[in-house]
Amino acid sequence: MEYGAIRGDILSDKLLVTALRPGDKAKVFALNVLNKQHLHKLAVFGILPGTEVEVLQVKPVYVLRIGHTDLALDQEIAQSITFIR
Amino acid sequence: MALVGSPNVGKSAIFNYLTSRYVTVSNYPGTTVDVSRGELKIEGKKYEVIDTPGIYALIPLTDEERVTRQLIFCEQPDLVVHVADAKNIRRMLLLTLQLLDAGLPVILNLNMIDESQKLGIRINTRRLSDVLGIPVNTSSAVKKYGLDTLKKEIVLYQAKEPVRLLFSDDIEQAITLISSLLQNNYNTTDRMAALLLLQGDEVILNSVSSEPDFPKIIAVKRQLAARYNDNLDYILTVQRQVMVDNIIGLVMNYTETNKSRSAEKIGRLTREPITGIPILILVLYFGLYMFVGQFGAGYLVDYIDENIFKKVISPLVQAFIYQHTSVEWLQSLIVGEYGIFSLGFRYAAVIILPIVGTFFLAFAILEDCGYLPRLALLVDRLFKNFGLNGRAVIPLTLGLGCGTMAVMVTRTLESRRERILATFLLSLTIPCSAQLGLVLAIISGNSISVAIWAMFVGLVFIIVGWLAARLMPGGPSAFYMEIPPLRMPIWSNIIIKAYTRMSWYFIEILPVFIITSVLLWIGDQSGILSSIIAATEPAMTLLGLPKEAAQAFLLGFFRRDYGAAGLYDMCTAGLLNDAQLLVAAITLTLFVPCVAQLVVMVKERGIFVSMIMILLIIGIAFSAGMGIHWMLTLLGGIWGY
Repeated sequence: MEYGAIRGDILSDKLLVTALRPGDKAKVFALNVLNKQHLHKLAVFGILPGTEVEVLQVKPVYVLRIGHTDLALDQEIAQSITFIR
Repeated sequence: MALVGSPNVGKSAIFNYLTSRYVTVSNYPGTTVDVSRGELKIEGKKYEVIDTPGIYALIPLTDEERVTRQLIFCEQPDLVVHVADAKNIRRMLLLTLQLLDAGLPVILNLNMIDESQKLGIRINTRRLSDVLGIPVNTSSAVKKYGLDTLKKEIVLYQAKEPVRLLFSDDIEQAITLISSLLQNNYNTTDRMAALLLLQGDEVILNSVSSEPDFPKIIAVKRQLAARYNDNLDYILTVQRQVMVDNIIGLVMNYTETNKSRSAEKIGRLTREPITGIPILILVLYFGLYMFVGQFGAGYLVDYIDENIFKKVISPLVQAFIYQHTSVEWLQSLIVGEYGIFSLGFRYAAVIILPIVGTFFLAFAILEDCGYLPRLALLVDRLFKNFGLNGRAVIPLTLGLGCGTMAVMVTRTLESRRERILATFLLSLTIPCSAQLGLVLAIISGNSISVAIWAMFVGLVFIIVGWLAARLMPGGPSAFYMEIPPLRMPIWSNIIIKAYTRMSWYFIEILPVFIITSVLLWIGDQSGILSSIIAATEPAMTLLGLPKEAAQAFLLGFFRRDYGAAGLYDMCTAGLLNDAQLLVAAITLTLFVPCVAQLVVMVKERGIFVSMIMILLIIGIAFSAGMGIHWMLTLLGGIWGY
């Protein structure tokens, strides 16, 4: 399991939420660990490396489906997730 | 015995069943903001049952989560029932593991098992119980299923050593080392204290700093943290999730089923802006304007006042009083102009209660079907301009029912800054349902007035919200909210909820109304009232209102809705013209909150912050009133004011 990857060193196959469209499915690659608050919020909903996520909506906020939970996130917090297809 | 678990998993529903008491249950996270206690009797044995606000993890993010952790740690319950949402077991078990690390005696109760079965999720509870070393029960609280077996588990519960799931070796070594160095009492196991310290929990960090071995402890933490790029918190969480995923692999299997697509489709329509905003407008129009405004404040109030109160009850009481006493002051104290019965009781029971009742009914329906989180999501962007995020829509909407209740609910907001901003906007711009109903009743004769009133109050909300957010340091916190599935509301639940809130409201307001009418009666009899009214007369002149309106404003200090009710009477007596009604309606809407809300404000925000808010509110309300008065005078000819 990889723990690294902080925003800024995103490789070609790693994506930010802004690159995803409704209906897309992606796997969580890493979380931006610099913001502890965001990290906690995402972790308690099971958004951790390896988790499969489906994008349901991108406007006015992001709505992600993780397992059987639908979670609304604003741009700020959603951008702390790095995805991989 | 404490019921603990994530928000919106049904803790309160289980509490109500076990204790035969009633606490509010709904379909949005954060309904319970305070601890409730009740009693459960099984086979002659008594248990104290505690319902707690939902927590996602043992490291709290909001005030109400802090309440729960404090309770678990300080009261050390003899038994913790972890209530979990069966279909989301993957993320629920994270908390179970934390509760076990804290050395608590836990029963895991998988609630909403019916929903998860419908989704095709099968959970082998016996194996789960073996893996965790604790009893596991399944239930569906709203369908009253599986709760007797929960009772049985509670009676039979015997503490035994739970299975301990371990982190990686280096972390376990650090935990053991730190545990052995800890000497203070942390109200939890040394293992949990060490874990919280590694995760960077501030409360624990504070108390650890007084440890004699503090430098050694910190050295251990630093050394471990260095190995993981200072991301210990993240690493611990990830490792815990790996443990959970291993357990899930053993006990759960999932077969995709044809789930009900229609609920899913409606759910989508309510949260996407193109369809969601028109739906929101329809909800506001039919739910608030038509049902509460027209039906509650218009039809019901008129019907009860004219046909029941004035025709039946009032003559009976008057006859009774005149028959039994000839003492004049006593007669006027009860049925006179400021009488306990003719003013206090009538306003509370006849004018206010039907409006508040219809609002609570409409709100309960919205709550239980799960609409509110979708509303929060839609307005998040807008609210960011006011230094708030979408989460604040729940207290602000509830404020349209009762501001007092709403100020309590601001606890669900994350930062102190957001709680202050929301309390301020609630006290200034959000009219409670009683006030709203009366204001609409006063000005509804002129639809332009209604439009100007709504636009003006909305404008004040926007300008003040925008300014306040700029003047207060800090920014809004990130918005995240679980969107529960849309559910068909259960009617009995809605009626119980609306009824409970109505009786809470009535019990709270009736004494205030009665005390107010007694004070006014004393003021009237002694002549103090007329001198106070005379003293506030210049303020009324500035607003272009007749001096009698001063009385409505004085009443408004006791309760905002009471003040509006006073205007309502002046309006029926034909004392005010349209422009004056509009000025009065706007000023009173913005004017200071009622006594009850003020008390809660002081309790929640502190006396200093509350007093600043009150001074600002009085200033803003009167300048806004003056502004609209001048505007109407200048533009008078155009609209015929």
